[in-house]
Amino acid sequence: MIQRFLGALFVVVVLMAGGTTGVSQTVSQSAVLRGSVVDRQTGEGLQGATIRIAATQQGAYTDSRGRFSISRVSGRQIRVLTSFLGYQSGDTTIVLPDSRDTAVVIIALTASGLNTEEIVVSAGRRVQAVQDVPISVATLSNRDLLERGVTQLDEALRYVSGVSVVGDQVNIRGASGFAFGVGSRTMVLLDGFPLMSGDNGDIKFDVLPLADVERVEIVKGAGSALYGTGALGGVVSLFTSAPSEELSVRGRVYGGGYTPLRHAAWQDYRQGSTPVEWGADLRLSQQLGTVGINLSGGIRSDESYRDFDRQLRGFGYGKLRWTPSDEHTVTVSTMLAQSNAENFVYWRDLSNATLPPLDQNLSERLWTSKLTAAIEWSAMLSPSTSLVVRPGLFRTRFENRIDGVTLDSNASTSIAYNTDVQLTTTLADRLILTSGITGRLNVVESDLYGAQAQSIVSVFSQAEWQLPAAVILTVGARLDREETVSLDPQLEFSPKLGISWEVDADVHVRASVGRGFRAATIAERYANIRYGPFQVRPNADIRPEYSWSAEAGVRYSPTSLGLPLDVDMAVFANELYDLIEPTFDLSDPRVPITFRNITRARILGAELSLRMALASWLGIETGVTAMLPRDLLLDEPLKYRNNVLWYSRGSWTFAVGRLPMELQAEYRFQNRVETIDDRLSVFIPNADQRVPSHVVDARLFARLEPLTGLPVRIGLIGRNLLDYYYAEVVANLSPTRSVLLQVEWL
Amino acid sequence: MQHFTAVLLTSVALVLVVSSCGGLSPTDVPPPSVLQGTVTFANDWPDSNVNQVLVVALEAKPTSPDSILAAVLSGRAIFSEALPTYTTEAPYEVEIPGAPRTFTYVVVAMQNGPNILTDWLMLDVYSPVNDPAQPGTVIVDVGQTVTINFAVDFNNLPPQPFE
Repeated sequence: MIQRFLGALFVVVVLMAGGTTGVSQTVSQSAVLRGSVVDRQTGEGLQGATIRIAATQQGAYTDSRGRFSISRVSGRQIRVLTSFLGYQSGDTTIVLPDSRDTAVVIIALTASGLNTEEIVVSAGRRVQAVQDVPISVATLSNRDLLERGVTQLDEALRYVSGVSVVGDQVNIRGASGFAFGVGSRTMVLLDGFPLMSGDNGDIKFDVLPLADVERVEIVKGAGSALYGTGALGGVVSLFTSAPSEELSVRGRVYGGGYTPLRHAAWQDYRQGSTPVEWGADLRLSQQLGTVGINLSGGIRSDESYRDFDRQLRGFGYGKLRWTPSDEHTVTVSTMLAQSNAENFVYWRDLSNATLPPLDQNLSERLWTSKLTAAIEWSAMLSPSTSLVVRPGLFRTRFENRIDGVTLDSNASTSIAYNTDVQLTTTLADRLILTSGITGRLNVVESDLYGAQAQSIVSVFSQAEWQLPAAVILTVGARLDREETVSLDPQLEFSPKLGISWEVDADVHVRASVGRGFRAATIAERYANIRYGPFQVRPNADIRPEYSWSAEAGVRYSPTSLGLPLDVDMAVFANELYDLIEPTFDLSDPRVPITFRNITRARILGAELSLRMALASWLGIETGVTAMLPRDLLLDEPLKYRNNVLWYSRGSWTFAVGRLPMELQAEYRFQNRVETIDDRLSVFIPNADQRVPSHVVDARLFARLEPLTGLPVRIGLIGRNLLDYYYAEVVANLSPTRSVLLQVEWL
Repeated sequence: MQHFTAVLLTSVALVLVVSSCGGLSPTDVPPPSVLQGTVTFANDWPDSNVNQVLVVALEAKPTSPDSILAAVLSGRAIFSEALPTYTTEAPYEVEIPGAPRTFTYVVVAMQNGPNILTDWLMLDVYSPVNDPAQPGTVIVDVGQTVTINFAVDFNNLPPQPFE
């Protein structure tokens, strides 16, 4: 099967490359557009700003100094659209002096105080304006990540409207519940490369190189028409920074601890000590001629707010970008992460919520290792046609160890080989066609799952028409063929239809419907283990679960009010079929647990997001998502789902003497999950104890540059400041209050 | 500015008040729900094959011997610790997790062979009308202690559910 898989991919690469040769020969002579995007008031370069040349596929992101370069710009007059989170967008027409010359421009953007302006996203597998996307998309910038002092991406995702995180499961608009870490219904990509493990199909947040992440996009709703399996509920897509034109060194160190718990019953195990948390990041970036390099790494240590939950992890990331010509870029990247952690699974009981069960072997450790290696060849075949070829692999291993010795019965190694070939072309300025083929091969060697292989080969195509009256119609489809050693090939067809309409400069309307699916993971099909008193038995016959999601939304961004305002409203419906869940097989005398297609569910909801700057120094954001998740088979609320998610954020900039300061506060509310699996209470004491979530985070930052001349910023970060006790994961107390001091070299 | 400060402080105070009203606490642990009582044994115990005797509370009447264990493993049945055997009286006490729970078949059961899946014999069935053919329903609420006494007569065992 592996040979057939690789053979198919090779043929596709050759076909696509050959098919575009003629196009590349017709490219006309053109100019290079270079420049900088700066803050209009301070003149500082803005990292991560998006520059897009209207009516083309061409665009770029600025480096850490705010610089950019776009090659093969054709025409005498070009319209350059610039956007950056927190700034008013730029729309500039540039007249090139000579079509062969290099044009240099400086684009100054005005701060808006909030993220209220048009931004550009790649959720449609190409650069486009956010209001042109027919589906809800949220974004986080590098600045958002750094300012929150997050140590893992999931911490930042908790503050995105419509998104909740339960354990390592990202739940977009209720599509996911709690599945013991197996089978994510949200696809995660890094620079377009899938980061789902080959065995469990789960997300490995600790491998993501946060210091290098420039933007995060969260696509809400089924995305399988472009991304295939796993994109049942949505897509989280991360993009790393381009190498800086000049040497860029950035670093961060932080340290702090968890404050004492209010309840002696939970606090006593600490015996007066304070659990500490610390970490450091370092990032280097430089462009040297045609070669640019990004290197970053870090370490995290967390003694945790509860016993038997300490962890230590380290990670590194490297990206080498070679630009042999203006038309071609080759990028090689690799990531490595390792962690050694105590394995707190659930509490002893609520009275002892900071302690593991009495029968937990306290010598046990969970050791994990992740490695990625990827190559991307990006070719600008013409001003209107681009090609991307992206092969790579993602290796994961986990093992339980006792006193350093691996437990043979609980270890797994998987390698997910991924290849992605994509061609994007603009036809007659009004039609953009994005097509490609992807292949994935999951190979697993495991005591838990046996020796397994799973292949998924897919073709996809999407067309976007710019119709009269500022309407964009999007039609797409994807065909996936999944095959495992023991299962007949299965085909999944995932169509999508979307429309976006620019009613006027202030109002954009969108609507979409699409299908999502998720093929069962190797863990769900082949797990054959004993877990406590339970025997988990394989069920190779699991079908893919699938969904149909529909959405209609309107975005209102008035330009005439005199202050930035952005309002987005959406209603959505998600029909879920054949959801895969672990269940007891009562027909077998041994009553094993097996994964089965059992649940049919419906989620109806509405979402309102509002962002505005009340003054240049004061901004607020708030987002409310209301949902009605229903299990249609049991005729009861769908388990592990919230009905209400509410996030609010405020930021206030001021100065103390010469020091520019910023105070940020965030509040997160989730209503009490209405239903969980009652049977958990039988095996885990007080597993049904849960409350609504009220979490307040706050941060105070000061830039020391005016005093010291050094690009240093210090921050005081408080998480869960109210020390509110809640449980997002069943029988797991969520993080209690912690306070960190963070020092950054910007 | 003053107006903003007032709004900000009010908002913060509101959030503080709202959030401090709730949250998990070790004292939130509900009082235990308990099924307890005494089992009396009349007439002679069997000479052999008395492996263990338990009080078992099942959400549904078992349809086969192996479905008892299935119910236990799937959380749909609760059982006591093994009662002393070859005695005339034995108290029992079972903590009921996940209360409130409803059990429609509460019995004293004996494993009368080596096979834990199949070798089960019902010794007495809870029935409010004293008719083992008409099992009674037992509801155990949060924090409630329900007392049920059983009277086993080895010469007059109830009808077996699998017959």
